[in-house]
Amino acid sequence: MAATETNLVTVTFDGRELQVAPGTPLVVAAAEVGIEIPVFCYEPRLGPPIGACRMCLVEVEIGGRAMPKLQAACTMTTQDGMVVRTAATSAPAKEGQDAVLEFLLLNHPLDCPVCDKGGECPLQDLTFRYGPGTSRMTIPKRTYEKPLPISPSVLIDRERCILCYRCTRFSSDVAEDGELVARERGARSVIATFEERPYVGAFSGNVTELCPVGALLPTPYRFKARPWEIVNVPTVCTGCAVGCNTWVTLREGKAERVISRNHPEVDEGWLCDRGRFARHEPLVERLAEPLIRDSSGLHPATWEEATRSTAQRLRHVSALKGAGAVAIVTGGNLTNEEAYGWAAIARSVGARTASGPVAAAGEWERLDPYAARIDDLDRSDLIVVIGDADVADRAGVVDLRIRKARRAGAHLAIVSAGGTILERDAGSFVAAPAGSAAAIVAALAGAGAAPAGVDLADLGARLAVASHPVLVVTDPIAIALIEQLAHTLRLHERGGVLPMPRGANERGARLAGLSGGGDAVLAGLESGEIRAVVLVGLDPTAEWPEAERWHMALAQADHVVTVSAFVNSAVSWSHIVLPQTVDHEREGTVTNLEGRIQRLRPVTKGPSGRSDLVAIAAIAEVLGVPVAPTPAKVYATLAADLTVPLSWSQLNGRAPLPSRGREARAPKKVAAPKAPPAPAAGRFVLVAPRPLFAGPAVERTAALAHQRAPWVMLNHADADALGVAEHDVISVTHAGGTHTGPLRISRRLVAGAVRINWAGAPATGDATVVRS
Amino acid sequence: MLDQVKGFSVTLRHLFRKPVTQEYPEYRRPVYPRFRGRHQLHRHENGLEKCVGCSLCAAACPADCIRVVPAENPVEGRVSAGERYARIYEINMARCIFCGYCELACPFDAITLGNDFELSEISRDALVYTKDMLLAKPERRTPSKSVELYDVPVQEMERVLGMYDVITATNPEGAPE
Repeated sequence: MAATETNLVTVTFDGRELQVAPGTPLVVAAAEVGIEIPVFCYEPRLGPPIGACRMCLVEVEIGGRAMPKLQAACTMTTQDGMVVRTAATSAPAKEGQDAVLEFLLLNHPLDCPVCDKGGECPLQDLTFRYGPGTSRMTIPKRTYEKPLPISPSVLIDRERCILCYRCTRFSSDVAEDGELVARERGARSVIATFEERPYVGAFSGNVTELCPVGALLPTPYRFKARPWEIVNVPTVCTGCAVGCNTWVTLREGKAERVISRNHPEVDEGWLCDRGRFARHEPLVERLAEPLIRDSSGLHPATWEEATRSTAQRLRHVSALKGAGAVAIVTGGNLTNEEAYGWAAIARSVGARTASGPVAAAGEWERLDPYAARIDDLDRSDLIVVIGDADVADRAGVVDLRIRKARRAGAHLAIVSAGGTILERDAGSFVAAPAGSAAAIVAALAGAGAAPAGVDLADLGARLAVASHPVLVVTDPIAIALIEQLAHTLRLHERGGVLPMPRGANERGARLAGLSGGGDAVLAGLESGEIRAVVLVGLDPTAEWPEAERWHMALAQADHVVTVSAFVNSAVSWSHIVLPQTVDHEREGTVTNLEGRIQRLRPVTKGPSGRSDLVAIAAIAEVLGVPVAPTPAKVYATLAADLTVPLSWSQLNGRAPLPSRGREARAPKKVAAPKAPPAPAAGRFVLVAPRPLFAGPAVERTAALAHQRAPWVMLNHADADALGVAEHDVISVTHAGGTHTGPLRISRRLVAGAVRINWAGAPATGDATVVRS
Repeated sequence: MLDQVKGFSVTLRHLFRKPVTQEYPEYRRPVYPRFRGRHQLHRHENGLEKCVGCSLCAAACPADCIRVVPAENPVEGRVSAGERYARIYEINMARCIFCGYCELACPFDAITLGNDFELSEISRDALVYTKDMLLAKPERRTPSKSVELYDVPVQEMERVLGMYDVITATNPEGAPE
C-alpha cells in the first residue's frame, strides 16, 4: 500500500540500511537485515515487550546524537535516521551484553547435565554464542528448595530462573488467569503461584515451552530424554476440533511428550493441557487382538477371521433384510481416510451412517459461505459466544484467541446460562435459560421470540453495526438455525460464524461420506429395522445422549461389531471386536472446525501393530469394493471426489485453508425451536456440557487427575435457599447418574440451574440438588 | 647357485635366532598406559555414582553404542550425586570403536577407558555391558606398561621390536640406521 510505503523510516543496523515501518521493535527490524539480536524475554505473542532480561542491549544513535546509555532493542522502536550498533560492531554493546550474561548466570546453577532443558535451552545456546566463556563467580550461589511443583504437571526450579517474566506474562496477559506471579523484590524475586495455590489453568503447560531456561519443566517429561536422543514427529492433536499442530517427541519407541508446532492460523503455538499431557498410557485395557463371540463368550481371533466375518455378517444382513438394515456409527474421531473406507463399506451394503449424535447439528457444509476462520477472531470487532458450554471446553485454544481479540479492542458478548470462565472477561453478558442456545439463535435471526426475560436488543444493535462480527456457537444445535442467522446478518459479506463440533473430526467424517446422525440410527434400532450395527471408535452408551435407550436398542441387534481402542461397555455385548489405534498411532488427515485438512503422522505403533485402514480395506475387499490400505492413496481419491485442491504432499507443515466460495443462497425458513420444558418444583435445570478434561486419555493420565475433580455450581440465591455454602459437598442426581462435588457459587449462573463438570454421557433435563 | 646359497643363508641364520613371535595367551604383551580398552564407570568416595545420566557420552559416541535411560534420584537411597541418575547404562562392546569420546564428553569424569582389550565372548548379547558390569572392576586385567617407560617410546619400542626398522620421531623415513 502506498500510504505505508511513504511512512517508512530509514534505520541503519551495523552499517546495513533498512526501510522499515516506524515503531517496529529493533530486534524485529534487525532480523529483517539478517542481524540477530539475542533475546530471552522478548516474545510478541505475550503482548508488548517489557525489557526484563536486558540481553538485547544495543548502542543507538538518533540524528547523529548517541543515546547516553545502551538501549534494550526489544522495547526501543524504530525512528527515522536511527543508527543501531549491536554487540557485533560496538564495544560498549558487547561489554554490556557480556555483563548482562554474567549477571544472568550469577545465580544460575549451571547444572546443565542434570537439567532437562540442556541441549534445547536458549540460555545455554546464547551463552555459548555470545557469552564471555568463563565465570568470575567464586562465592556460593543463591539456593532454593527444588524442584517445587506449581501444579501436578509443572515443576519449578527457582535457582535456574532468570526472571524474564515470560511465564507470568502468559498467565496474566494470554490465559488471563493471573495464577502465576512474581514474589519478593530484587535478587530474591521468585516465580510462584498466587497464594501458593496450584496453577490449575487449562493452559498451564504452555509456560514450560515459553521458559527460556530449565526453570519450568513438565513433570511427565522429567528425565525422560535428551534433545539429541529424540525424534520430533510433526502431527496434529485430535483432542478436539481445533486441530492444534504438534510435535510428538519419540524416544525408544515411546511418545514421551507433546509440544506445540506453531501454526499461526490455528493455534499460534499454544496448546491446552489436555492436548499436551493427556496420554493413552499406560496402555491399560487396550485391545490388542480381534475378538469373536461364540456360545461361550469372546475369544481371540486372527485379523483375517475377524474382518472376513464382519464383512460376511454385513452382507448377509443386507441381503436378507434389504438396504437400511445395517448401520455404521462413528464418533467423529476417525481420520478422513478411515471415514471414507467405512463410507465405501456402507454404500456397498446399503447401510445407514452416522458421524454425530444429531443429524441436524452435523450439516457443517451448509455454513461454508458464512464460515469464519479461527484467525478471523483477530480481525473481529465483535465476538458473540452463544451456548452454555465454555469455549475452552469445546475448543481449547480458541479461548486464548478470543481473549487476544478482546485485548485488541473487540467487544466480547456472551449469551449463556452463566458460570463459564470466559464470561468473567466479557464486555457484555446476557443470561439466558439453560439449553436455550437454539432459541436465541432463532430469535437473533428473527425466526422466533427470545426466551422470556432475555433482552437481545443491545446484542442485536451491536451485530447490526459491527464491521467484522464473529459468531461462536458452542452448543450443538441445528445447523439450519445457525445458517439462517448467518444469512440474516449477512455474514458472507463480513465476519463469519464459527460453530464448534463435538467430535474432533465430525466435519471430515461427514464430508468423507458418513453423513447422518445417531438419532435416526437409534430410532431404526428400536423399530427393529436395523439388525446389524458397526460402532467405530464410539460407545454411544457412554458418549452420546440417550445412553439408556442406546443400551436397550443395541442389546436387540443381531450383530454388533465394535471397533475400539479400549475395553468399553460396548465390547461386553459385541459379537466382533476389532482393536483400534489412538491419536499418535494413526496416519491420515483430519478436518478441523474451520474445514482445514491437516495431516496426522503415526508416532508409535498400537498394541495390535496394524493400521485401522488395513482392516477397513480387508473388510471392503470381501464386500468387493476397492479401498486402498494406505492413507495417501485414499486421500487422493477423496480429494478428487471432494475437489479439494490440496495434494497429500501439500498437507505437510502448516496446512493451508482452501479458499471457499462466499456465494450464499437464502436458506429455507426454519421453525423456531421449542423451549426446553421447565423443571418441576424443587428441581433444577441441568447444565452439563462435556468438560475439556474428559475422555479415555484424560482418565488414564495421573497428571490431569486434579482437572477432573468434580464440582457443582449454583446461583447464589439458590444456594441461600438451599442453605448451602461455598465448598459444601453437594450431590446432583440426574437421569445419567449422580455427581458429587464441592459447591461453587456463581452470581451469573441463572437461577434455577445447576452446572456440573459431568464427564459421562451427555446429560440434559432436570436434576435434584442435595447436600451430601 | 651362489644366489641360492645366499638366500638360504638368511633362512639358516634365522633358524637359530630367538623367535620374535609372542605366544598369546601364555605371554600377554603389556599395552601402553593410554591404550583405550574396556570402559569403567566410577563412584565418588562416598559410594555414590559419579554418573548423573546426562547422556552426553551417548551424544558424543560416533558408533552409537551407549544407551542411557535416566530417572529421578530417589530421596531415600540416592544413587548418584545429582537430581537424576542413570537407571540404565549400557555399552555395546561389539559396536564400540574405543575412540574415547565418551570420556572426553563426560562432565563428571564418571566414565573412563581402561586398558583391557580381552573382551571376546561367545554371544553378542554378552557384549552388551550393563551398568553393574561397568561399575565393577574388570574380571580380566591387561597389564600395562609403566608411565616411565611410555615416556621414552623410541628406546622401548626398539627394545621390544629389536631388529625391526621402526618409524620414530628421530627416524621419520623408517630407514635402517
